[in-house]
Amino acid sequence: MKEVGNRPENPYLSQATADQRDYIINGVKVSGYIPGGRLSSPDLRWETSTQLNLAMDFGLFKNRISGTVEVYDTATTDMIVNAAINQTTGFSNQYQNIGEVNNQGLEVTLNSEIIRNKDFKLNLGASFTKNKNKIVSLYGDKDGDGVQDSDVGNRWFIGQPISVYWQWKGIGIYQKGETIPADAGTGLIPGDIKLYDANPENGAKPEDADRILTSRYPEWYGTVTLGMEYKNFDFNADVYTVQGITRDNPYLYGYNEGASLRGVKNGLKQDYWTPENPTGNWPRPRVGNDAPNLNTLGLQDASYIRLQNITLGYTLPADLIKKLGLSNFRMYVTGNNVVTITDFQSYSPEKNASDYPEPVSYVFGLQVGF
Amino acid sequence: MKNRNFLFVLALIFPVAFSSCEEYLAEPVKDQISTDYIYNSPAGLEVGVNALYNRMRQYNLPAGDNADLWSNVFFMACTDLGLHRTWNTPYGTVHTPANFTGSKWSNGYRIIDRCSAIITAARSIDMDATSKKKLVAQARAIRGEVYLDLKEQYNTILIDTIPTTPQNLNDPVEYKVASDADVWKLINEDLDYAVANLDYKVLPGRYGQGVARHIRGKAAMWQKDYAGAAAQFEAIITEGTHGLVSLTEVWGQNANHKESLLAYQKDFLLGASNDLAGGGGSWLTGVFCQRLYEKQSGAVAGQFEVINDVNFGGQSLGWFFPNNYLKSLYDQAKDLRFKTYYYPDNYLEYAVNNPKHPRFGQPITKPEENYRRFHWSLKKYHDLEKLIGTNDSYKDIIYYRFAETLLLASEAQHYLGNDVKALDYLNKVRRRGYTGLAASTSAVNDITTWTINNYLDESARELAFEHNRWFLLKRLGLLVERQNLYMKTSTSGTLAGEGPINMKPHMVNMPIPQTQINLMGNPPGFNVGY
Repeated sequence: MKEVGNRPENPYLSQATADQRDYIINGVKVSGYIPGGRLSSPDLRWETSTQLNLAMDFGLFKNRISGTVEVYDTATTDMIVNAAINQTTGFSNQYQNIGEVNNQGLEVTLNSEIIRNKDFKLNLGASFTKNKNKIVSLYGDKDGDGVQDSDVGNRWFIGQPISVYWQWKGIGIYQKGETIPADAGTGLIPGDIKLYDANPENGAKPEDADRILTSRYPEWYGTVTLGMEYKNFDFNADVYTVQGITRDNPYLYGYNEGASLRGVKNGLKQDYWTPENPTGNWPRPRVGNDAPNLNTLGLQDASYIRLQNITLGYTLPADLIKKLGLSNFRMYVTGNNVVTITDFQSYSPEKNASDYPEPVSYVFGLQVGF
Repeated sequence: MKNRNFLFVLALIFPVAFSSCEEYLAEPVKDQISTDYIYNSPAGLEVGVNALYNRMRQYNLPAGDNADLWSNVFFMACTDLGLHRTWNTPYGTVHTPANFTGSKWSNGYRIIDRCSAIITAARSIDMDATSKKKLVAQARAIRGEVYLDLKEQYNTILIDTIPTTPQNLNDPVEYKVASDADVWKLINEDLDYAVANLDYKVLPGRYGQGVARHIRGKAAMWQKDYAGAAAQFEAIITEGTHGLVSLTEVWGQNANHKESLLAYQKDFLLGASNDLAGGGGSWLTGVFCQRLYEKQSGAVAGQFEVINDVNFGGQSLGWFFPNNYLKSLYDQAKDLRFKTYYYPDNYLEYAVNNPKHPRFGQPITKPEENYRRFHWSLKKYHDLEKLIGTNDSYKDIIYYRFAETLLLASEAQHYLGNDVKALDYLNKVRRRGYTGLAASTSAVNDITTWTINNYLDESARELAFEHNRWFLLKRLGLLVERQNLYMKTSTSGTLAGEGPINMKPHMVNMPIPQTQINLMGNPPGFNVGY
């Protein structure tokens, strides 16, 4: 089951601990301790989840086809979330029990023994998971409009998933001869990014209403497993897929990732606008600065299909094993994370740009039983 | 038998079942310092105050390339003396808290809360009265200074002297702009206490009475209390601990001399990041310096004329430069500051330093017109100990110095009608600039009439790029006008590409981060004009 809230990584995050911040006086080090930016949470409680789970296990044709279908509805209250607090208090965040989040979902797993002979077996399995995450309530209805209040500062909106992107979106490039409104931005010229404007009547200045909300969660994910046995050979392959997920990709807009179009660092090749290439979908390069609003082009589809595991093995014939005095002798080769197919332009569709990506590994092995 | 076993087990379970297990779940933290220690013991109070210095250093002289650095560079560079080349163009639509000074708000209030915690906790700690007063005085000096900073930067701020605890976090708060009277009262009281309880002679790095009076004087200038300001500055000038030093010493390798009222201490061996005693490497040396080692013209057989050399500033960035308006203010022949505070403006004064180049030792050839590679650059933050290939510098940097005291005193005395004294102080700074000596009786270059322009020009010559001119011009109401006249931007790095930057009047106040306004519940009165 997917995580429904934020799990703190380190212990003691609700305690009032101080950071060590030393200094030098007269060339000599002096010790210093000061509370950090996180306020302690002495009354922090555990999250409570109430779950309704309906599952049906079935088997057909003498269990040649078997599977499970499960639907669930989980309400989690008192979620432990790292809430941002207003910085004039001197602190910027605190772990708090907040509100209620609802997760509804469907999990289907299916397993079928398509062929079951003495010499040849073929199994096919699949699973499908879909989860919908939604914030039900946060702090109550403090502004008295009859609806639960959203928390804009933390990007928590009622009725939306708890983890979202909420940013302006680039929808095109200003062309030569096109009028660029003065309040869209200073110094914008043909070749710069045009932002989505929800209310053009009230001016072109980018506002909160123009921001687009995108969930950070996938629409669904699943696996397909293929297993075969032919005489003494065994073969297994797992394919894993995540679909409908959008991720922020710094390789599209970050200076350190080479996306600045300044001729300073190497990066992804883009079809950028020039007066000779007005159909380019990327903004014009500039020498001194990044293109304005370049980060609004940063969200990219990170759906992927990955051949997670592929194994081929050979077990020695039973009589040969017995002659050697062993109980088992199998040789195998396994590949992990062999192929990933995705449109996400980075080292891995699952990891952040600066993280170490998942390695591809091949293992040759020998299983011997004595 | 069975019954016996049954009873035996029952007897074991019985007591356990009735004891509460909640206290077993409460786990005391054994490997970290609890905040209780800081606020309940004399030793804790001392380390609490030391940590404030660390945070102030990060607030004003941060390590690395990040929002903290940009906040500070903004106030140094974006005045009428600056030329912008790269990174976010100030005063445009990207003049947002994220790009510029948002971290001043968050860091500032964090420091203020920690000061308030120390000040409040000290009342109930049992310790020697003099030591306690000194510790509280340091905390109050810092709090007063940071509130003054916030008031100067944002104008519409909140004030709060109650330290935040989990218990009072959710007390109902009315977020409204603090009135000027309340803000100044708070700042004045904090700084007056600091002045009353700190000594002039303190160890290098500590707040002393000199810097407390200097900041109190600045606050008084903002309140147009010129008599009060003049009194503060006069006290520092006559007391004698602080004075001018010779010109080459001012921004030399050692920052802890008598002209320094407060210098942030750094040390490479004790450091490598903001958290540690030695601090992290500051990029200031490179921000205002050209990258001469990228000069292409005159290259022979692939060898550049200039290689990276600490004498030319080492690894540099060239984000901002002193502009032609500032250059026009100097008498280049006679004012020694032109050669001391800046790298040479004439390319012939640089020698080819690449041993593989045939013209090694001879003057370089004319550089191509590219400001990133060659432009008149600032030498104040020059660090001879900076390693080649890194932007990091661990040189101690002066934050408040006596020359500024003299200039502000000059201004205050003028408003009180004492032009003789005003000119005397102004000319002390000027004579040091022209002769290079800490004190001189030669009056040949003296200014004879005190006008606001004479004053601003001398202040520019002495204090350019030291983070105070922006506030001086704002206080005098001249910031927008002068900004639009003189500050230039040239992203192409050429003279032809230089253009003005359009600063709008509301931009004299910094924008508060929108997320913070949201978290406060969108109260009115903040971010006027944005």
